[in-house]
Amino acid sequence: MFRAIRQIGILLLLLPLLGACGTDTMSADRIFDPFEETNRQIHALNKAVDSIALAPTSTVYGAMVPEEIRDAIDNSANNLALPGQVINHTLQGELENAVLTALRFTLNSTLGLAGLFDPASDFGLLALPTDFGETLAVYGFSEGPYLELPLLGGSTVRGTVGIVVDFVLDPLGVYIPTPTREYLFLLKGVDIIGDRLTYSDLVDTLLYESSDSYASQRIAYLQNLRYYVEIEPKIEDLEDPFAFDY
Amino acid sequence: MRSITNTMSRRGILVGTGGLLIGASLPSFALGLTEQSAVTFIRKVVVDVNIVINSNKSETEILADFEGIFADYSANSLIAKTALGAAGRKVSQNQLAAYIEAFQRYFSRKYGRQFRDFADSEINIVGNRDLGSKGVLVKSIVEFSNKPSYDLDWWVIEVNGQPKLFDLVIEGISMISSERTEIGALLESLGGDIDRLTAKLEAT
Repeated sequence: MFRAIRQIGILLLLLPLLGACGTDTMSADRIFDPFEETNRQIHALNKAVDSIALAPTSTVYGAMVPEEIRDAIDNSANNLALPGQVINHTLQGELENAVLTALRFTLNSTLGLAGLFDPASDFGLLALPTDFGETLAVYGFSEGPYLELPLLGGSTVRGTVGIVVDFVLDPLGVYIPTPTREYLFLLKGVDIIGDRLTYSDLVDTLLYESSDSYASQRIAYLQNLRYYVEIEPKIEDLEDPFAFDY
Repeated sequence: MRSITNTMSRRGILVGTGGLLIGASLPSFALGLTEQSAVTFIRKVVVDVNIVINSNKSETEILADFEGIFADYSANSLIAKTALGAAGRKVSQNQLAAYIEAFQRYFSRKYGRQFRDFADSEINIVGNRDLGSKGVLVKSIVEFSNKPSYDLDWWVIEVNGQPKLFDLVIEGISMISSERTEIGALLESLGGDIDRLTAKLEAT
């Protein structure tokens, strides 16, 4: 545990490099991508992995595994992410969301048979996903440069720090003994295949029907991130629909 | 792939009720578009989409109908010019007109398909935000029985006295931004030649 705290401490020391973002909002279209050349190489790798392995595997998965089992796997993987989300909601000062997420975890882990089912949603306790990247945003850190990560896809410097901290911070990762932990990794891997199937139209459009799939994925990722992490843009920061009315 | 998976789940939705007050305090603006008329307009679009979905027509006919709805309700030429951006100022009127026509067909085909995704869904309007001279944002949630719901915002503006759709924003991802990226990339790959861009869009 002390080692974990020290690791987080080191990561947090790096954060001033990002700078705080202040209160002025900017256009939702803004792109800060100083590592574009490297990012594009990683994108080519990710796209190759998707077309050679992930996409075909997800098609086979969809054809061979019944929907009920795919749903159960998806529920389990999502359920395991909840304890980490409780911590992040708490760190963000969103206590209501923390309590709702803790209740959701309790309900789905018991009534939902260790997370295989999702009775919490039927009770109106919907998923309220969050992560340490969002926690950093709440603390005023700007997103920093855009990054495309190997196998993980779009991110930012802030988001990448968040992924590492979430990994160290995850209560399940700390307390679960090793054979079970490996099983959980496998579960997460299968869930990624399932997600690729669920969102196949969207992923196919972005990766294979765009003229520049890197740029298309980048703008979609950044806008989706900002939609959840930033406050609603001011009217003057919105694009003027009539700017090109020539 | 965080963007595509984790964040697709539904979260709290900000409903811009503050916009009502701002709208009321402004002097009556030249625009005839009100929050009320924008919401009515989007309800009409949603009804039309649902009629097509429930019509027992063939897949091809449904797609053609969606293309038609999209072409009727969108601010087509403005969207075409916004996607092209400043590059459009440097071309002749004829080149521009040909581009706009090709873009409209490409665009309604592409987003007509988007409407097909609304089959088996319920589109619930949950709020709206007055954007002043920039129009009105109508906020909705697309709910499915068998997959996660998502937020869908409709950006409505007024063109020649009529409400028109300027942008569709799905979970924060703007159709206009996506198309600007796409058209920009295409134009660059074609050496900045608008005639080749037009030909390419016609062939897509």
